[in-house]
Amino acid sequence: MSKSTSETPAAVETRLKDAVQAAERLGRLNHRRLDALESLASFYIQRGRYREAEPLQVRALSVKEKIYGPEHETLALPLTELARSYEITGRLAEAEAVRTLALKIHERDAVQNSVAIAQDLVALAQIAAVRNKLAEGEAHLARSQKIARIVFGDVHSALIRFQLAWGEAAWALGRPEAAVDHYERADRLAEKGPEGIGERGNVWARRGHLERAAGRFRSALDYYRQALEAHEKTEGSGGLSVGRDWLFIGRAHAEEGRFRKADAAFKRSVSIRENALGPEHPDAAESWAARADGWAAAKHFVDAERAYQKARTLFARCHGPDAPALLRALNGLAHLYYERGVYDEADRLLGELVRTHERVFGPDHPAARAARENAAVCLEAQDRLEEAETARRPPAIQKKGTAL
Amino acid sequence: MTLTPDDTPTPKPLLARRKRTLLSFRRRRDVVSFVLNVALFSGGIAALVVTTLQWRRLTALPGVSEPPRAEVPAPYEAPAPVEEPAPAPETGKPFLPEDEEETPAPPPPPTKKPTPLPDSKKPAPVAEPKGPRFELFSAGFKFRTLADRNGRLTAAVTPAGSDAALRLDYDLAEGQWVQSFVDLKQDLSKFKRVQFVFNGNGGANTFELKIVDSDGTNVGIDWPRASGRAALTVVDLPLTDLTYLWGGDPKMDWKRVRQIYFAVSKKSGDQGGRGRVVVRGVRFL
Repeated sequence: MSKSTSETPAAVETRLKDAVQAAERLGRLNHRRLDALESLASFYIQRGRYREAEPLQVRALSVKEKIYGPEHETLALPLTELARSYEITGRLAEAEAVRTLALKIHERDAVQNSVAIAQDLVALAQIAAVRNKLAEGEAHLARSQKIARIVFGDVHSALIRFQLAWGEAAWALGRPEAAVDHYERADRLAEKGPEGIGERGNVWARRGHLERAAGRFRSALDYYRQALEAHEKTEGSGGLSVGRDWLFIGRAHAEEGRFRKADAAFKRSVSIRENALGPEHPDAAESWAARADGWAAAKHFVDAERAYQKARTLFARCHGPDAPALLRALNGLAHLYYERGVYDEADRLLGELVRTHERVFGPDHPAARAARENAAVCLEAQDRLEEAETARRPPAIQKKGTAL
Repeated sequence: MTLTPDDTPTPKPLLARRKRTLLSFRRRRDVVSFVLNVALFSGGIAALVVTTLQWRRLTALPGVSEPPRAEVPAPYEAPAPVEEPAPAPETGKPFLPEDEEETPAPPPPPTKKPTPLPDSKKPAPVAEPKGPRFELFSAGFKFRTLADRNGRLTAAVTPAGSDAALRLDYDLAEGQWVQSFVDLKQDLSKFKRVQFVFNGNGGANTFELKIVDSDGTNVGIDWPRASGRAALTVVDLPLTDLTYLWGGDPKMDWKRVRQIYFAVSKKSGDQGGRGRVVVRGVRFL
């Protein structure tokens, strides 16, 4: 133990890699190889490096599959973790497939794993919502709620997490009123339950999201500040939840046009996250990207570009080329270039975003349509109207048009 | 998966920027936009014209802001030909005996209160060219008087509106000439013209302007039988029109002007008698 505490992260990584290499020599189905793979994957996941963790998770899973069989319940947890990695790296189809596998394993013993089934279902509902498969998402959500109520009733404190997850799913499915209802229920449960003020802080942060999405920034800020106070009480002023709350406060300020306050909040968020997680962590990159958004809105183009590039590098390294966080940073950078009139760079980035959105979400997804519209708007600004009309069309029609 | 408003996969939309060529009709909505813009522009211009016309009509109403329209000035009356120049007093050299004191005779009592000049007879101010100018009455010079043995003259500079006026009350019932003059040392070489107006009442006598330089050269001009004219006479003369009269050398030295005279004399055909001449706004431009 004393060795690990004194080691730097780089030394730990080297040691874990060496252990994997050493274990590889012991044979494919060796337990030491499995442990080494899982340890290195866990190391990467703790540091947000999901892109590097994912192949290790797959290898570890295949070892377990070989050892225990394809539908053994031991596989359910690593499948859930792998699904999480896929979600973060933007590989939503794989995430959905892997989570469905975990659900199937849990369903083999539905009574014993009922809570896990409800969790899988709500996760699948969220993925379906992001992929714009709304009916499928609603079905998963309804089933999750039904199972959780059978297990816990209506007032069990374990329902707080479920209510929050259901609220997020309902909001992603386009039903913010239902989300408010879930958050209010969660708030009432947290008020009475043993989880205390920290859980209420999570509820308030989510209520702040809803208010912000509706454009009620003052109300959102009130919720975010309540969440911040709650998290500061439970985690201290340097806690990760506190850093996240500062990020939310900054975004609310930036959206209402108070850029100085926004930048101060972003600065706090960056500071807390870099201190807690290190400057290379993608959560710090998230704060940098948000700070870049604020700078861009305040027309501080040089600072914004530098921050976007930093976030872009970190997201690309940690999450891969399809990660939603990277796409957001690239989109912000493209906006920046477009605003500055650097059309060639903006065109290149927007074209890249169109291809990525079409690959990740499919050509008919609203996100892909929005990306194509952005590319067309940028072309129109350069008076390239025919190219803009072509850019607006989905890929199939574009191919047909070129054939004609 | 924890979702926030920023986690929506839909990218933030770009705000469309109209940066096209000035006239681009590649799409139907461009034509519509062009026609709409032309209509709005024409409407704006028409509104501007109408507003301007209305404003001009309002401001043209009397008593609003426009100054009263000036009357057409009385035409300059050329001096009638004089048969024989009367012996005018030599300004440089007084016509009095040396032993006689130069005490001006008391002014003749005015027969009646001088009739005020009718306002309606005010001429339009002479166009004032830009550049240097010399206002004789504003310079604070003291006007003195001179008359022949039997002539009588009272001169006074009185305010007349925003300007000053030289009032000459004379009596030529028995005398031949009177004059009021000012001593100065002035360089008038940079001026080209002299302007003033005068009018008067009483007998029709000759009114004269004379300017003397340092060596006694007299140049001047006269207006026969103009001293009693109630209508204002507008004088706007090039200095070159002042002719040499006598004294000094024939060349007027405008750099060394020493005296300026306003005189009333009784020449052949003049009526003599009493009268008043008022001179206003003497300026060299």
